[in-house]
Amino acid sequence: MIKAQDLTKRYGTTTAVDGLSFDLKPGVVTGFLGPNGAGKSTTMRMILGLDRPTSGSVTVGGKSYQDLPAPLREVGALLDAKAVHGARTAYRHLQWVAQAGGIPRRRVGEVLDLAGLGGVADRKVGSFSLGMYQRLGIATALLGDPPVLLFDEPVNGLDPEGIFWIRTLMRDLAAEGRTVFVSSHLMNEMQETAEHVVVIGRGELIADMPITEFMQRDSLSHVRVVSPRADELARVLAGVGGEVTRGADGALAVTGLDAPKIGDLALEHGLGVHELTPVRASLEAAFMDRTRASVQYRPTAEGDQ
Amino acid sequence: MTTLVGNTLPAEWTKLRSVRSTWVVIIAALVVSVGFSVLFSFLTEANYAGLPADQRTGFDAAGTSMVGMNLGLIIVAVLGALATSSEYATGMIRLTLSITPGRGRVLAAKAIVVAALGFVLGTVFATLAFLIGQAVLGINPAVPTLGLTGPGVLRSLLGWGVEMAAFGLLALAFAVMMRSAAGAIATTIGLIFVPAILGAFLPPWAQSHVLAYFPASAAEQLSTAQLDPAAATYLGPLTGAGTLVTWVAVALVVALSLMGKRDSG
Repeated sequence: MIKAQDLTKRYGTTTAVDGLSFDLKPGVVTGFLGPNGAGKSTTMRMILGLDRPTSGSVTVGGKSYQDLPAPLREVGALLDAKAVHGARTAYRHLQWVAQAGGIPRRRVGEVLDLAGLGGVADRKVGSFSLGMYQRLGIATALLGDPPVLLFDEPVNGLDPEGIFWIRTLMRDLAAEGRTVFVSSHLMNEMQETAEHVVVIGRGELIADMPITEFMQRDSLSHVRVVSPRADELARVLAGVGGEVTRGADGALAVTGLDAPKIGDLALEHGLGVHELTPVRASLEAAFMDRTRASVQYRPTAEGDQ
Repeated sequence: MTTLVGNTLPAEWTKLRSVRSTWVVIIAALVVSVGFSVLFSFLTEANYAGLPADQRTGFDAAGTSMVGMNLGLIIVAVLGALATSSEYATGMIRLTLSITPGRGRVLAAKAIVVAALGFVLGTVFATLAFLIGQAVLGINPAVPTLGLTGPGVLRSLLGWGVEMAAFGLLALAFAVMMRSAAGAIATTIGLIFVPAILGAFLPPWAQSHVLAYFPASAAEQLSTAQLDPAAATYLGPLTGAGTLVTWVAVALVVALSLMGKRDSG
């Protein structure tokens, strides 16, 4: 539904987005991951026709955004929830959006209820909490009942209840067959929501794959073993092809052997084991691993593991 | 398919009327435009006998009763600037442009709303100031007063509508160019007062060839009932109107081209 081809954006000598290509499918939540400053927001603004690409193109349903006859019915977007006029009530805000987008007035009440803002419709937006701003932004995005939804960092400032609400909402929207594209620098958030990820760093594509694949990295999945006779156990495990590294706390990180095998080997050799924990690579770890080269600002004296 | 008349225009009108500051500014403009005019009419009526003889022989009854309109003009220009600058200040312009990607249509809708409001306010304020002012001047039987059919009166009342619409549009265009309320308001006020301040210091040729073509002098050709063809900045109503329209058109075209070139409008 959203197809970027060689999308590039330069500001003077800074390249914000560099030859980005991806093709987003309907029916799944696609996470758009990258560290702050990676170019996620710039990409989203280019999808919406707000920023003009230096080169390359991006289309929605095969059309350039500028050519959509009624964009609000095609794409719903939440870019910056606080970018609304604080002196206007929530109802009036949604009213002008509905008028501009050709959406019937009754839909305003519906999305206010959907976003849990029905009770504060006549309150000025300026008195809202950050979480309520986010809910208003989501109500705005849903106004046109669009098949494509873009959310830029939607969980920012939400309380746990709000985070649960938006996770469920995004999955439901995708289950209805919509294309849902959600940016975040919080990897754990995506782990709960996204099925697919597009990962960028310094404006360049790092990965475009199912999230399970992205997280499956042998070097990052390991078994943590604590033993009073760690040295002997390490030799045993290395002898049958395990790769063992010793952590600062004395625990062993073992790859190449699974936990039952390690437990059996320890029993066979009469070596006590106090802890035996399979550690699954977190999205966070996978992300850090893949984007290490592309983090813009790193402390210079960083000790790599 | 959304349209200018069916969608963008109603949306821009909703935006303008749904913030309290719009109404505060309109009431302030009313108080200044009409209030100062009426006050000045009272002062003139009470001190008429003390006026110099030449001011009494060529007494400008219409101008006297609308003296506050020039101050109201500044406030209406502020309204034109705020109608757009607040969208750039909050970042809401991105929402506006994502709903309506056509920059020209967005600017046209804003311009129509500001121009219509400015025209209505200018005409209504001028008519109120004129009618109340003439009644007040009439308290003193020695003061000559005018009716709505007096020479140049109707042109002047509608001329104020045009002048307020034009300065509202100039302020709007500057707000788009500068994306800042302060800059837009300062520039508009400068354009209003430059002729008045510099006029006295400039040689006559500069007054008639340069100053006369500034928007405020041009607008005066419409809004002043009792025009003086001997004045250095005299252009006449038609040339004045053409000059004013040219200023507004150029400002809006520059604003539109900037909106098209810039990221996020």
